[in-house]
Amino acid sequence: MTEETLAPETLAPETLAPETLTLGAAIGRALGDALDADPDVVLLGEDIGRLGGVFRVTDGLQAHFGADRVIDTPLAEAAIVGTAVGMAYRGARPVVEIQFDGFVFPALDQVVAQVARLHYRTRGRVRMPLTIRMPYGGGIGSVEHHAESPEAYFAHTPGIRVVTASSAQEAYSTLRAAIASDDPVLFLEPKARYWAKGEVDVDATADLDTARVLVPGRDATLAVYGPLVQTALDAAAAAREEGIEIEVIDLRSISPLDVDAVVASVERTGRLVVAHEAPAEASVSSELVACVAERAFAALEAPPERVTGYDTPYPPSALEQHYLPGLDRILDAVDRALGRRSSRSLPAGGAR
Amino acid sequence: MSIVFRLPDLGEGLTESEIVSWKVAEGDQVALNQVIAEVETAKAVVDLPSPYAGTIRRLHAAEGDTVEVGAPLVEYEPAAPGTDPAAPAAAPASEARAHEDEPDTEQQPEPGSQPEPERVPVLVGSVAVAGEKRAVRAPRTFPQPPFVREDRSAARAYPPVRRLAKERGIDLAAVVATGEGGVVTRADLDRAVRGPAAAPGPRREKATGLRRQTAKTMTAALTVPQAACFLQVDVTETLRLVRDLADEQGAPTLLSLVARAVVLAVPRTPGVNAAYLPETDEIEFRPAVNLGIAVAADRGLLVASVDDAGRLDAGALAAAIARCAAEARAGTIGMAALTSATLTLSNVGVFGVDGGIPLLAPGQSAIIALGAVRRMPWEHEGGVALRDVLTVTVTFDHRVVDGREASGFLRDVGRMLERPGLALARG
Repeated sequence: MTEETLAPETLAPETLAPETLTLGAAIGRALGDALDADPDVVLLGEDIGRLGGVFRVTDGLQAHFGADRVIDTPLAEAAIVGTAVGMAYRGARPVVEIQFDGFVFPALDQVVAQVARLHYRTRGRVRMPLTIRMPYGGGIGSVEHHAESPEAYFAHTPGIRVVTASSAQEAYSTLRAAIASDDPVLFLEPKARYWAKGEVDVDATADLDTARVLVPGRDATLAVYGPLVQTALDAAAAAREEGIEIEVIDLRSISPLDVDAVVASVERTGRLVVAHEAPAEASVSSELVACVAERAFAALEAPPERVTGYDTPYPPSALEQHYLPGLDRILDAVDRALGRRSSRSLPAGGAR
Repeated sequence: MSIVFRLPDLGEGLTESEIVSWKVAEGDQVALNQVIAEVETAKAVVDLPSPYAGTIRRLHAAEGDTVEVGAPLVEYEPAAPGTDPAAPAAAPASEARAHEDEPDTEQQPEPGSQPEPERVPVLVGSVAVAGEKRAVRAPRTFPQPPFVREDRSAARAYPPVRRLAKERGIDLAAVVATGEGGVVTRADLDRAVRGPAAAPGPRREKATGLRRQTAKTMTAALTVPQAACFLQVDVTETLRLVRDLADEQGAPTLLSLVARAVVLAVPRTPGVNAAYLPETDEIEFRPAVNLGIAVAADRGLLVASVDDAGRLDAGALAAAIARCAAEARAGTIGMAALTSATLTLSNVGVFGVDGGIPLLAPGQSAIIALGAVRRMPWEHEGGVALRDVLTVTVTFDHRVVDGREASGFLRDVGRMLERPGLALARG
């Protein structure tokens, strides 16, 4: 054989080694396995069926499970979620895809006014076992409305879980748990990580409310989630070269926040850095820092640091690398938390 | 043998993509999943990972070209069989390794630094990072001293308390914490300054003024060889006399009547109103009794003298004693009155005790202490009756008088107090 011609499906899940999937493929596998395991599971979304999803996450599912279980919807997010609410009332377990973060806002009314409070409103008689999948986060050079991080809107709403995943395994297990949960769950998919590969054990399970210490360390706690988990791991590796041990915590659940885990870590390290792509104001980091201040104030050796997107609309993609928290900004914050020199100690206008 | 990698379907249902940039060059060795190009779709610029490990033989498109899905993109010379496909390439193209994540990372990683294997050993779960960009910090534009880990104190305290501890030089770890959750409080710091409450240490204060003077005087007093004797006296009759005369102008008190008895007894035992002069081995007998009255003032013990007490009757003595005691307490008494006494009377009974053995004041040969008056069962007229009883003690300079004389003096005083009428015969 002198030349092997590869089909376009080279990167599709089926052709990868059985245990190694991209994060996006792991989500597709989780959806397929959930459809397989539970006849009540039904998928709804824009372009998820015949096209297979803009990120190819649902590729092949409609062909396999049929158009009445993998349903292409009109471009109308409020109607998609509203339809899912009605289906859940009739016993279905809908999994909705919102195609991009920036398109979720028409559905906000359905989520806040219906999905999140039906269980409460009916005094527990009606459950909303609804999963809303949504790619979020930036860093992929996209146009407006395709790179946003609106998790705080949902975390602020009582009655709905907000979770995310940072690896293929996490994506598979957490999505399976979200679909299986009788609570409504917003499952946020870090789209910049869709192509990150990892081994996936389809028998591994995950919960929907605990954080996980990925790297232990003595010097500072770095709490992150979703797309910044890899950046945080990179930061921890880079800091280790300077002798600094960063404890990396993948929050996993944005609502509820696993404050216990972060407090336990801060009790060990005395320093906290929280990073996310969303702007800082009234954000997940606002909540986490407040909770840690309430619970572990005396353990803090320094004020908590936040590394976030700026309080501006998400910028044009040519500027997004200046907006997104990166390795250097995170390490700069770690330096501040450790009381070392940082770029902020430079004179105004100085080189950075 | 070579392999042609064709542009895969990147999603969104698109049929073509633009090559934004190449991350590798022809001849480069690449690892599995290493990013080889950035390609743009209608909605995103995405990194294209390498499906093979091997050597890039040919790039089929230039940057900016639009490539059909399925068209040849890269031609590889695969790595030798058995090569770990996840292992990094031996010599990755350095220009492909720059961060894209960081706005401030215009600089390349240090030249010659080999990228670490992209599998960070501390990862949990299955986060394989093969093909990830290397985690390299951009060089700082300012000097940064090496990181030195400081041992964290196990002590917990809120910042104002930590600051206070720092200002006071207190080691928080050494403080016993009583706050909720083991937090050191301000009160804990205060306790730490005062020392452990369970075992208070000694406290020292400077002895000044009268305290220091008393210390000197009493130390000097102990250089005098002295002895004491005491007598219990039924003073019921004397107290009756005090009551009988209470309504009169210039009424006597028990103390003034005792003083009167002392003054009347001295001529029979002149050695108690004398002084031993060691320089000349002489005994100086005083012509008159300057009666010293011990006064417990706030600032300490004073002995105020009623000079030539023999000239005063009991009523006048009571007034004189009250006056000099008041002046001594007020601090208005003259120096002469504080140094002129020849025989001292100390009424320790006011403190509720039955008696005591006083120490001699320098320059005096005797000192008399009165205890408290007690109602006691007492032999009286052949029976037992409740009587008012007082213990009188005399300490004497044994160089001047002996026990016989001192006891005789004490008996004389006691008899007059038991039978005040005797004073008629002696006075």
